[in-house]
Amino acid sequence: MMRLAHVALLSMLIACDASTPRRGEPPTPEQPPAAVDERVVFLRRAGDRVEVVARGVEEIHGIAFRLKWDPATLSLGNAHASEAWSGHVLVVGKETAPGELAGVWSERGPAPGIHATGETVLGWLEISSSADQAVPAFVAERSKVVDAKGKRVDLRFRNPN
Amino acid sequence: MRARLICGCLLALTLALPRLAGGSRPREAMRGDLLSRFVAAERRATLDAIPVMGPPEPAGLRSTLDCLSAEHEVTLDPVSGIVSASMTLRLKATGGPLTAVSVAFDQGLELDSTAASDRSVSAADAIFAPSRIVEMTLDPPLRAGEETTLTLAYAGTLQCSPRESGGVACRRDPDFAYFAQSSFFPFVFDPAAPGSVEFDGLTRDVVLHVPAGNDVVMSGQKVSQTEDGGQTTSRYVVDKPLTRTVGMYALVGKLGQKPIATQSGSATLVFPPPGEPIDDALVTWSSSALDFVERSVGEPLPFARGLSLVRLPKALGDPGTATFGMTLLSDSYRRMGDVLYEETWAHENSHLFWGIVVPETNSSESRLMTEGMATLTELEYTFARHFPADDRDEYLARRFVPIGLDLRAHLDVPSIRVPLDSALTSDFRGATYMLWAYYRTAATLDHLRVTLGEDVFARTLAEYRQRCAFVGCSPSALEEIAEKKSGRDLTTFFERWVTASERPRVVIGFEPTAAGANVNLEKDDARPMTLELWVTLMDGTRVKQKVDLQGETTLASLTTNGAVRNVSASPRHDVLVDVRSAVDGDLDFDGEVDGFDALRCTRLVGQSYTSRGATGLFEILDPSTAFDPRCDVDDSGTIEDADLARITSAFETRLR
Repeated sequence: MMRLAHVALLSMLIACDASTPRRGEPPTPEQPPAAVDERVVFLRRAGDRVEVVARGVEEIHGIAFRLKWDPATLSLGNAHASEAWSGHVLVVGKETAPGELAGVWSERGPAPGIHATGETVLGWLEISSSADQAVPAFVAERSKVVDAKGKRVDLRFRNPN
Repeated sequence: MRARLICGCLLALTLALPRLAGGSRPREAMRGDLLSRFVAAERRATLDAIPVMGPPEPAGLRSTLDCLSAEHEVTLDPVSGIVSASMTLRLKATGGPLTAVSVAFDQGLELDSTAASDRSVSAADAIFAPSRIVEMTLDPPLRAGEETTLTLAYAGTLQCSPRESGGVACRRDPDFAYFAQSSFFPFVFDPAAPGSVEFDGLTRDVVLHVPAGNDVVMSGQKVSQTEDGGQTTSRYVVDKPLTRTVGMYALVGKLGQKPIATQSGSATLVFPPPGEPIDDALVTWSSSALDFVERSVGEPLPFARGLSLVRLPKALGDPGTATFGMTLLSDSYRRMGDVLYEETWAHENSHLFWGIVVPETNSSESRLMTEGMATLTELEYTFARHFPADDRDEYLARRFVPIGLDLRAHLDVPSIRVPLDSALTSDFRGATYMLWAYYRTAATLDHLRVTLGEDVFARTLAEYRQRCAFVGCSPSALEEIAEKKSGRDLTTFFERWVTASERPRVVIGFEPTAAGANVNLEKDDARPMTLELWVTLMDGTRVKQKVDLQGETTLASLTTNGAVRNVSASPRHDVLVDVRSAVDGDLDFDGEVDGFDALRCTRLVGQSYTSRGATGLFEILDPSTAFDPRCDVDDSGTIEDADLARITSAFETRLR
């Protein structure tokens, strides 16, 4: 069982790495802008992490998010920004109450944002302990993504069913 | 630096600052204090290349000269500049005796004769290049309330020499000859108070003879134009009472002219021949601007016999003005780009109401209802023309951000209403003047509009126009009418923002309730104030609600149709009220510091706003690049990582 989990995690990481465009890479011409339903930010377990993943988004200059979970089944540690961001990224994360965390990852200044038309890991949270495959959930009304003009990107924060 | 102003005040007062070049008659004959004042003004003018635009007069200089009517008859050769002219001026002494009257015209003209209908007149003159000043002493002086009629005959050849500031009062030319006040139109003033701009109510009747074959366009309403004996004779009247300082203009030659489509009356664009492509744009803008101005005021302009809108060539050095039935604007404004050029065009045309039809009692005391209204109109015009899809509140707030930053960087700008007996600094010119006359006034009018509500403000303006048209009013009239229309006591509003220049701090906190929110508003003083609160619900709906703040703490229970997410104040208050959340770093007023606050500022890191005097009005207008002073936590003028650190250091600090 444990071995299978590791294999699954490894394959997810490989898949993730392959699908993460490098910073500054323009969207390819054959990829038209995604429809609203296809512009998503979601969470997924990846071993000892919970990853925050975007897909179908032309540009992400910053993301503010709030997560909630059942502290009886899950315990989260620090939030980390991925390498998709530049070296000047603002990273703030704070557990505001048991089972609740607010965070922000954002470029600073007029830097272009991340192209996240393909699946792009924006960052992750350490899992200190968990039961099964428990994941947190976005508080969508307290989460948003903005582009380099400061405009809110119309997308869906998707939570597990 | 854009320099606009209403009426002929610029012309009049730049006239009052020419270089002393020696008199053609003994200067000792001139009034000594008048001379010294002119020389002092000239020295001040040399300190600043920007034209002086009407500094309030120092203590005690209130004119007793009340001009009632003037009849001008002028024979002019627009190319040689040869002039033969007469003026019959009916005048009155108001508020005290009047011992002398002065006129200024081109230094190439000389007084031939002068007389009064019922007393002796002795004249002396001196040249203050490029003008000649003639002082006529009345014997006996006019007693307060007494009238007389003064006649002058003068002639010579216009020299049209440049002022020290670079502009000219006239230009001789076969195609586009230009004659402003103080060329052959005498600028009439009280030598005891040469800078006085009190409304006196002067009407004019002007007959101008020029060689046949010339076009003529003048300030005023055209009565007739005939050709006879090799001459073209044009008669124009200013048939409504104006301040004597309102500029008179004549344009003569082979003038470029294009008709302007208007909703009421006829209008013509006048320009130097053969014209330029920009003239077609100006025709379009003129039509749009005149229509907007009339719609915003709610009545047609009272120039049924024609309105002339003039593009002045930059070389004249005349920034432009509005006068009776005529608007003029220098094409130097083209450098600002089409949107701002058009906006300035709208500004100047709005002065046909706010300044010509509705003057201030004394524009040394305040420009609230002239420059303030014209500036507010130009902002609204650009919104309607170029940004109609934007949220209007946010557009206006955005336009006022750099205006507010300029005002905060120049704390020496006088309050809107200046006591007439106050002694203002001698450098009240240039940027300081702009900040006083345009910025503080427009921001305060908009703040008043939000405070009263759009409907009440509109009804206030309608009655103000009705009461003040062609008689002049002071800010007191606005206060009185606004109180009547709103049913509110506005004493404190006018004390805070019209006779003083406050920016009180108000701190907002709130607690969501089942019915809406309980809001707590704290300020440092106990004087009343009204704010328009913006309550944003969880679904994004914005609810506006006015709250009267009484005492230092005000508690308000707001009822809404959904859960409350934010409680802030309209950002249109921001120039004059320092509104903050009860939680430091909570920029969006949701009661906590979170990623939303950080994201508001992250992309702006590195941005600066450096006030360069009064340029904020010209900061258009991309919200994605506009400086956000709320992100500049330390008020350094630059949004830095340190500001961001201050915001995020309080991350997830919550009120509740």
